[in-house]
Amino acid sequence: MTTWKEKLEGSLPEDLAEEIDTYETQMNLKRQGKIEDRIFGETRLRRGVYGQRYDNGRRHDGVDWQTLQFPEELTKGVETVYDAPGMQRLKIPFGGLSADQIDVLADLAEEYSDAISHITTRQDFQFHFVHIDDTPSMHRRLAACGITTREACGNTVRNVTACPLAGVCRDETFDVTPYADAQTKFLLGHPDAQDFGRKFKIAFSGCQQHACGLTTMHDLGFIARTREVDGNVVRGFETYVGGGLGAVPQKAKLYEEFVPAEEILPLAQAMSRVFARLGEKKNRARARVKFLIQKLGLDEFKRLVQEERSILPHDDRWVSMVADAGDWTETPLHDAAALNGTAHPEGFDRWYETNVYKQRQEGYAVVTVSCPLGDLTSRQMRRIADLAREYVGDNVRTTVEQNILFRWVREADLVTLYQKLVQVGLGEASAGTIVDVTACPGTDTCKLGIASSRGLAAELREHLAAKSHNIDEAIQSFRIKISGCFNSCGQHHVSDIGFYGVSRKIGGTTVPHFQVVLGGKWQENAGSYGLAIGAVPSKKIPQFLDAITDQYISDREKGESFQDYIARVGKKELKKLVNAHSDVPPYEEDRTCYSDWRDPREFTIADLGQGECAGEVIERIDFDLQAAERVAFEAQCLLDDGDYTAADQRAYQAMLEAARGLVRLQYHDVADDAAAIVSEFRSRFYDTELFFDKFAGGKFANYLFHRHEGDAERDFSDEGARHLVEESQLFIEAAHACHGRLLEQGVLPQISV
Amino acid sequence: MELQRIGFKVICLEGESIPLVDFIPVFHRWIQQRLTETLLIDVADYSHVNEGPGILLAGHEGNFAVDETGGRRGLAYYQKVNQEGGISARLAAICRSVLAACKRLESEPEFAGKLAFNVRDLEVYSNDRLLGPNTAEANEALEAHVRELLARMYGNDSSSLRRESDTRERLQFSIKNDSADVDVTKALINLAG
Repeated sequence: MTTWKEKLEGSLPEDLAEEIDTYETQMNLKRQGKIEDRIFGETRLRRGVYGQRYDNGRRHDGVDWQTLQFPEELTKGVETVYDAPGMQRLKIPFGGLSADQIDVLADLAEEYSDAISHITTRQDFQFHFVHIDDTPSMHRRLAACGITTREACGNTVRNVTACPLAGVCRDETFDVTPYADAQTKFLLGHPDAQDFGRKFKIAFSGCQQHACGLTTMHDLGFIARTREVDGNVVRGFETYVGGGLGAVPQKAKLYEEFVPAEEILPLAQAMSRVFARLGEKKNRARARVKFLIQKLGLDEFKRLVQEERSILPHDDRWVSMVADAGDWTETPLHDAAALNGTAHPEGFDRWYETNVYKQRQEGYAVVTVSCPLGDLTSRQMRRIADLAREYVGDNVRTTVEQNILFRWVREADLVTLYQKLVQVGLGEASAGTIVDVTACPGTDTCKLGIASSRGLAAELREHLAAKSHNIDEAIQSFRIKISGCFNSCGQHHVSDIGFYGVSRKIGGTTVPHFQVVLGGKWQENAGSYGLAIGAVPSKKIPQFLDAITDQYISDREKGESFQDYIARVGKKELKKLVNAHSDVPPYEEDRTCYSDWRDPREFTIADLGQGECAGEVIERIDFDLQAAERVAFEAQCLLDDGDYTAADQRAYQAMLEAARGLVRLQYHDVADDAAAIVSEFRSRFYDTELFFDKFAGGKFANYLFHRHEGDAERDFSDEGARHLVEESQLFIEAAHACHGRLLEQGVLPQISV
Repeated sequence: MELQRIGFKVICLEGESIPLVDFIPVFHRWIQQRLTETLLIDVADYSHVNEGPGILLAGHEGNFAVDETGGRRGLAYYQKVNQEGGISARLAAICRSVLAACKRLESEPEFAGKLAFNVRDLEVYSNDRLLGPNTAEANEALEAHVRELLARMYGNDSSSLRRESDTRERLQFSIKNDSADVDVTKALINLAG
């Protein structure tokens, strides 16, 4: 027996086996040149087979560009080399895992990846450095234990997430697990969910007040509610639509206060149809459902969904798949028993405080296993599986904070479980604390990453863990979340202190920075989103973090939350703190800031020889972009003051400043009026695609064009102004990046007067 | 035996206390200067994980790692793509790859006098549960080829091989040979001969 297909024959569900066979056939056709890159790319994405950094076959090694000489010239997508290692994402609905599944993941990580199983910020697992030829075998081995990779990536319904405490939470309305499970099964491969222009994310929460399922940041979010009808308690969901983080975050809007449970599947189906039919297909940057709702208005969107719902052909599964949800229950492995009498080993009490949650079921607790950066070795995974079998059975879940939960641990077992976790290096007392930093993969493996989010996260973890016993209580439960770019995979907008990767040119050399995002709220289903207040060099973030937390500890008023503190102190004051940490010494004096955390490669070292010839121009553009940042910051302050009209106008002005700075690179005497700036910017930087981001294309330029062209019918609302302020910040970042690219290419545009 | 995905790990004699992150710039330099015969792609930092792959140097043909699996630091190399030749030739080629990397790492200026590998303390494993499962039969089949390789490398037949008893773990031998008079350089010569 030489293939997993032969070995597993008969042990996979027939439909899954057929799907994987089809995928393998497509791979063979690709090898024969019978499928074009664009189509094969989306095909593999829908199987969770993702690209990884450097898969275009080029890598900057810190000194020069290297062409990675893979043996074959074959590709597996546009500009994606077939042999280049990639990422495989799995789908773990609501994060639920069995012990046997964990064992399989451990094996796959060793044999096909790098012996690391990585928990994502959507309760999934993913593996890195995987060769595409190994993916069919991986898929079969996963399917044999009930895990699919189908629609884990691509323009599909992504993993359905849910509160990891569902069913054991002390405050929930009811257990949302069976509904998340039903929604997953109903939409997986559903014909009405195959033609989206972009991904679609769904989450379930059991309550309003906790972080729970983070419904406000989802395309479709459900919060459990009950209602009395004819004397009976009926289950349903407060339903939200159109939320999302991404470059410009948007809170979901209330769609319906109460959608009966048996209506959630047809509602999602009808919404999928509307999204597929009317959603943007060409411009990926505006293709999420939030943009469709923005374009149509919520009322019209609702009308269309309701109309679609009314004509859907009846499907028995709408009811049958949720009919028994009320009876859904988990079975604890052991009878309940309280924690008593056993001596507490060193470290246990602190761990109990941070990593143990008392279930509403007396005598049981949930244990959070802290997984640094969401990473577990295969041996740790097997130990997790062993401990699950010993203490909780298959009641294991992942969390969006990249940890693992053991549910239904009887309290009497907590001491021994702790000791066994310590033995495998998983006894860290940090869950839900400031030490438990979350990060997306960033530049480690992501093609879109700008700065090293994992490098920074690792550094901050060490920095904070070293003083964890002395961390003031006021900041103990702070959430720190880091993204490698503006796309928010690290969920930085909904943390107390968030960071996202950007870059700055200092003396002609690129320096990794992180934008500081303050004041987001994790609780209340990601209750509010923070705003960026300025960029700090990556290497100075730890000092900045100490400064901002120390300031809060010493200056806060009694009982004042961090969000309230940020609002009271105001961004002007906080900006001073950012500025105090923003200096970068010249390259010749100190090179520390010119490389990123845990990556010694210097960014754009090739640029060093050519700063002088463009010196004057660089100074001018630097000045212009700095001015744009200042105006954008003023817009933020106005937003905080509730002056939405002025905030909107300043944000627009900030974009104009940045655009003018770029135009001046080519045309010094551009007129100082909006129409002229936009016109010149369009012809010189948009039409020529000089401003285009490699992945986002002209997305950021469109922020300026939309604002400029839509001036007359402007609605100066809180939400509208907030969006424009976010957009202006991204536009300025794009201007920095554009300038950086021009310098890297060594071909600053010809200047004319 | 069809097994292709084989890994070797040479345990550190000295160097346990070198911070893992200190290996990152060295591995980046290996990529910059293309210091191995194989295609090197990137460096991954897993120093935050307990007893894990430590610092990984990912390549196309195989991955290197300053690996701490099992609580023992060593330099690991495991093959990912198929090679020509029989199992004995493949084992020898992979072993040479890891030994050459050990020699190079020992000679890096950052680690001068601080890092040494004990070529008499090795691990060899099958990284393929289909073609090389941790079963008695597969153990037996692989052991014969491994012993043949060790005899060449050490110049004696007195190696002790301890099998991995947990059948969920990979098929693996922990190898000791206290009587062999061999260091990394000599082992490489022996295998070349």
